[in-house]
Amino acid sequence: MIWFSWRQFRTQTIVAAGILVVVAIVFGITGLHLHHQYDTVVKHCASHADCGSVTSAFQSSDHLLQHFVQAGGILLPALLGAFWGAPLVAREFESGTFRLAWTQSVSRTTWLMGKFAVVALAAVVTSALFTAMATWWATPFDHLNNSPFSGFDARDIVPIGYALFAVTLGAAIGLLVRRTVAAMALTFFSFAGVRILLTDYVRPHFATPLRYVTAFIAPFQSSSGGAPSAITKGGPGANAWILTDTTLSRTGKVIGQNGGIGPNGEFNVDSIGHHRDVLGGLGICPNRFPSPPAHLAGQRINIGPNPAMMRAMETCINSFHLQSLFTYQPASRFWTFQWYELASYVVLSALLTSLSVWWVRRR
Amino acid sequence: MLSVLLGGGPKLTSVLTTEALTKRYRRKTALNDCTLALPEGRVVGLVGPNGSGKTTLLNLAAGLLSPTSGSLKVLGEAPSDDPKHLERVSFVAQDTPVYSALTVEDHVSYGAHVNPRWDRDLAERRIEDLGLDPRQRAGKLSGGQRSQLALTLAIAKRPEFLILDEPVAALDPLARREFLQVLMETVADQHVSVVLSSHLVADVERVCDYIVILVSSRVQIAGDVDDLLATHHRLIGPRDADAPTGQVVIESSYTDRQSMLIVRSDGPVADPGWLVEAINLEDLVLAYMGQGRRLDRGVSADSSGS
Amino acid sequence: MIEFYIDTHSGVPPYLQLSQQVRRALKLGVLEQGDQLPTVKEVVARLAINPNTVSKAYRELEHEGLVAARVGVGTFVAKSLSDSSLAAHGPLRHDLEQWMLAARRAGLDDESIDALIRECFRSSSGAVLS
Repeated sequence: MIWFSWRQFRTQTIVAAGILVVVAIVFGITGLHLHHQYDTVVKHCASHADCGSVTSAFQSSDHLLQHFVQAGGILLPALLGAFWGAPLVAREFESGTFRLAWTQSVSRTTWLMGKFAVVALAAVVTSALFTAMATWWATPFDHLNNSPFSGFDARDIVPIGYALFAVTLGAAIGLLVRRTVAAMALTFFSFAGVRILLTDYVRPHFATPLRYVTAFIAPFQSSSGGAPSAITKGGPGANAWILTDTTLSRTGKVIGQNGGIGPNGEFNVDSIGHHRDVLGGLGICPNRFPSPPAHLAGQRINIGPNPAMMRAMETCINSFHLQSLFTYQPASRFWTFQWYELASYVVLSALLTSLSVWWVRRR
Repeated sequence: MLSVLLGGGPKLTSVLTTEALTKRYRRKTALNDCTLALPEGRVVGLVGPNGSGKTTLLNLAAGLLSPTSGSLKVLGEAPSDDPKHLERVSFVAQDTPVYSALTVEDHVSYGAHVNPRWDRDLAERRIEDLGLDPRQRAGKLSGGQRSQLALTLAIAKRPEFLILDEPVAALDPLARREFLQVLMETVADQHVSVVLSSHLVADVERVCDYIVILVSSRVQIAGDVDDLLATHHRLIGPRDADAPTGQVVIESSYTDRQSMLIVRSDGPVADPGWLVEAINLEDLVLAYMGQGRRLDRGVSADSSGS
Repeated sequence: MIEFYIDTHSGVPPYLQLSQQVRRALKLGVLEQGDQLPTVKEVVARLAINPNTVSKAYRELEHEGLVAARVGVGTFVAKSLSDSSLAAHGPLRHDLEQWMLAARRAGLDDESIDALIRECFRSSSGAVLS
């Protein structure tokens, strides 16, 4: 059965090998250049004055390819699931060949597992090769990036788990739906759904997040709830994965999320002409935006913050002695999390496989 | 509905036994309360109009469907996923599915890989006799060639029981003849029981020695062809005459002067008022098909409360 | 070796047709004692009929003593049916051919010839039996 499954899969194998060769060549040529650039110019530029501009120039080189590497890494498992997993069983139902296959002298379990094994192996190998090449290629950029967690999904070993899960999911959906095109679409979108769910709700909890409390001090760096400068000073560290950034009152009451005040950090967005009723009932601070002139009253015009008014507002806020509570995963846990996530997807794949075997025998 | 079995002598084993076998889908009943005992070592013809349940019955026998109620046994055991059972039965589905992208050779190798009883010499000889190019992709074969390939795969597996679902329906007369030639040669050569379904009575007449007539999802009658032909007659008599006693009337038609009946009887027709004629298989099948349809409509009328 | 054929529309059961053809061949001297009949497999491979039909025909012939089955070898003609009357076949055939020409010259079509022959055959059979 393994021989025959391979024989059926031969074309796909050749296509995949061809694509990987092309990718390898492109990555190889550009990657070597990038690595060389990085090693000679960027790595040790801290001693030079123009380090900042050199670094940002480097970071925007080969921009298109950077996007391809990231997007490719995200999309590849979904594509494998849709193109390799979904047709695996669905096509046999559509063409009626299951009536030939199920009346040979092998059980349906053997038949299904033979097909699964071939496609799973191919997906794992393809994904492993692509991810290895992509990880190597992106190393210079990753060195300059803040957090290794930002590229988590397309690096190292988790994509292998995604690929395995995607083809397993595709095969299971194909088994249930029995129409190839419908199975392909369904696989693509349900795979995306599972990925989003696991990334947002499971990954943060692979290990209990660490907590760090610090004083909430205005002025703050950005107006969009980004990582405040407090973080870089002895807290989670620049490379950490910040899960939550909650603002607390002096007594510990929660008054804001996402690095600001209010549920969306709306401290950063002011209504014009009103004094800010800030701090969840703790008090009032003056606005940083001046009221519009009388002849423009009633119109929505954003004049822009006045530096003196800004300082007055910030002094007022700091007088309440607010705190920032960070929950985060340190960069040191990157590899642990990679293994946990890989294991999760492998377990899901195993469950789906068992379900598929049970289902195919029921018919 | 009464399902009648007419035997042709002692049948020690049955290749396919069903007991009140029913298969229902959401909206329709594909097979209704079928009880059969097909003798082994025969070529059994399953005849009936399209949609009468032939494909359903054969798929059930091949283990590709499971019954809604009732039971069936193939070669003494319920159809199952067990390779030991699967190697004893071969199935050629309607439209003879093959893997279009793979070659003839690939299909034969597939058979060799997965079937322990595979007869490699037989397969190779058959492919050669058919003049098939082993490297030809199966999708490029003609309909006749595809069905011959499917038959080769089924035969080289050396089964005890061969199930064929309308194997020649879509073939031209020459391809049909060639297919049946190969099939009959195999039956003569190996000891194998065959069930094949067809809506062409002429083919069934040629190759089958036992038939089952399936109409509107029910078995109308089943039995040895010779026995059926011996026990069914056409009776011609005057318009107002009563049907002779002891006969079961299958079909009747009248002109203003004459009655013509097709009857089943267990003994000779003694009534001198009737002219007795033999009947051929086609007319017998047609008579039962007509009866089946009438009964079906009669049942529907009753259920609508009229 | 005899070449069988089946006429599906003759109304005669196939096995009877086969045994009739064997008897006819024997009568005409086409088959002689010791000749082998085609195997069941050969017959069905050509005619696409049920092997039991052939077996039944051969069994009937064996029952009549005309053929004998040798296990593992085949079925062989046991006795010739062509008898002294075979010698008469030649001249009779010649007369028949002459008669045919005369009938055609007289303007008889196929159906009339056929009807005439059947009528004579029927009345002559009755005459012989009585």
